[in-house]
Amino acid sequence: MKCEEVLERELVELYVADRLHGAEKEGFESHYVDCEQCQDALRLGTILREEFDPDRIRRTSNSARWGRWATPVGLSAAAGLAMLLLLRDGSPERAVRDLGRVTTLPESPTGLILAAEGSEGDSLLAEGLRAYEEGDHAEAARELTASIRTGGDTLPAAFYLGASLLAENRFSEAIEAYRNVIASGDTVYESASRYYLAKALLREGRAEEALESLGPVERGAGEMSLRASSLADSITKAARR
Amino acid sequence: MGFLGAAEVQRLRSGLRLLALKSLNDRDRAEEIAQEALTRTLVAARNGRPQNMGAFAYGVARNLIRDEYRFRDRDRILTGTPPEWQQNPTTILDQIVSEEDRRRVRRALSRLSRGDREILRLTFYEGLTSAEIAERLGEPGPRIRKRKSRALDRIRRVVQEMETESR
Repeated sequence: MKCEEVLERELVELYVADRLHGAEKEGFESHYVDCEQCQDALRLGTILREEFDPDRIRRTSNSARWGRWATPVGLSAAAGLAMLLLLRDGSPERAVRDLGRVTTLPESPTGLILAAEGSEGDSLLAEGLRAYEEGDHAEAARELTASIRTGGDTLPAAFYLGASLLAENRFSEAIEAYRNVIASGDTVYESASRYYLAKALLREGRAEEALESLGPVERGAGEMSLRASSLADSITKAARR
Repeated sequence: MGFLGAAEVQRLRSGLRLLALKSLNDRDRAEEIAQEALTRTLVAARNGRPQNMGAFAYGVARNLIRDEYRFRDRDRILTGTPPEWQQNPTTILDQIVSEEDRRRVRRALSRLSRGDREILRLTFYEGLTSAEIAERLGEPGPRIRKRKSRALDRIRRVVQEMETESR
């Protein structure tokens, strides 16, 4: 067997999808064992099969992607209150605003892009997420806003709209987007939305509301809770300077 | 036939490993079987026996894999419990490519048009041939084949660029 025959009969594709049997399968296996080009094609095909697996997309867009953010640590109500008092006593507003700077935006949502299909709203969601992934946040904000208006999957659309607006320094709009996500209750986006909402609020100098947003995240566990706790501590320290 | 060069040995090792992993889905056993098959092939090559090295190595590996299947069946019947590899299944993917490779492919994939991604999904996930996809989408078969080929080339190119950038 030669590579031309493998290509012509689409044997890599069929093998990856477990549709090759009997002598045809053995013939191809016998060939690729000693063929670097076909081995490379098999690796790529295997990755692509996994990427299109709905179970993987679900895992990526839900627990796997957000699970590590899902649970938090805690700043006590007393500490929060004490800090607020400090802020009211003429706190360094600029330091608080600086804490709202976002160095790392939420990860690119490829799984969601691949999963989005069907209605016009979903199509706009996919376009918006793709623009987000490519770093075109202004375009992402436009597409995601349109997606929400036309009835796409509003939860991821609103979450990434918030991130895009944050990147564009449109803080009050970002706040509104994140509040919409949080209003949906206990979703995979809630913890991250609370964290980034706090960031947007800080950029507007609204430290008290930022702490309120971080509270429920801190009381959970996981990476996002650590981030929330760390941010809350920083707000406290900034206020004490 | 004589001795094999380092590149040929590496190619055979990699191919045997892929074959064993695909057949057994058990990294440790796949490594052992690939190594055993390679060793026997190298010994045979030194003695000047096989004309077609790939076919010979494949034949050896195939027999070893069949033995492994028989052993697993016996083990399952005697103990009444599934072997460890069945209790803790892993995907072959985890064992043949790195997370970094997967991330690069994912990013390259996201740059394709929606239509091209759908063709790749129908190909690799649903296992349809170009002719079957053409029938489903109502497009000529040769066009589907060409689009698929171009999409795969683009993924390879983007992945290669990312690899270059990361060096």
